[in-house]
Amino acid sequence: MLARMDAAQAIGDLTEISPQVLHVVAVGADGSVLGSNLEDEVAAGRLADGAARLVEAAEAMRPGVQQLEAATLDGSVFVVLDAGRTIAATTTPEPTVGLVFYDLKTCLRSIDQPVEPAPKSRAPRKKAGDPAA
Amino acid sequence: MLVRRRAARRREHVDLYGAEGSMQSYGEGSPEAERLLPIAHELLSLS
Repeated sequence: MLARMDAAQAIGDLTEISPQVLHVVAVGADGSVLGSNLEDEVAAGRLADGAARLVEAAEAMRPGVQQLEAATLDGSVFVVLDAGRTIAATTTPEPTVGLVFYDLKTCLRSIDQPVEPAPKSRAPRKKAGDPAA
Repeated sequence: MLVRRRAARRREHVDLYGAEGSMQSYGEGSPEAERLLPIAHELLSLS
């Protein structure tokens, strides 16, 4: 049976490898929050809603936008769209843009990605001359 | 020159990327950036 990666685990991995990333929310195609590192559900919902508003405004300017960075002096907001799902993150000022985009895509794709369970250990082969064979 | 470059880099801006990898950048003061930057400021204030 296939296991699925937990969104919280994927986001935890992301913030561990990318200390520039502060707050993250992953949103499903139906608009539901898949996971976030914001402890407050209301705040997670506000980040998801803000990301949707950024995408909506960006779409009006540039149809077909797939990702965006809104950079301020206080930090940046990144939004990445992939297969109908969205991941949004806030970062520290002057982040490494390419790296953040890469890490966000990797995180989003790892959520729901089927992960093969570790193979079961096989019983040792029986030797040809083994009387038990 | 270095100071000028750094100041330019630190200006607020919005970069939009298309599926084909193209990028459009809108600097602080442009109508496009003025639509998105207030939302970004709001999100950065979340705790």
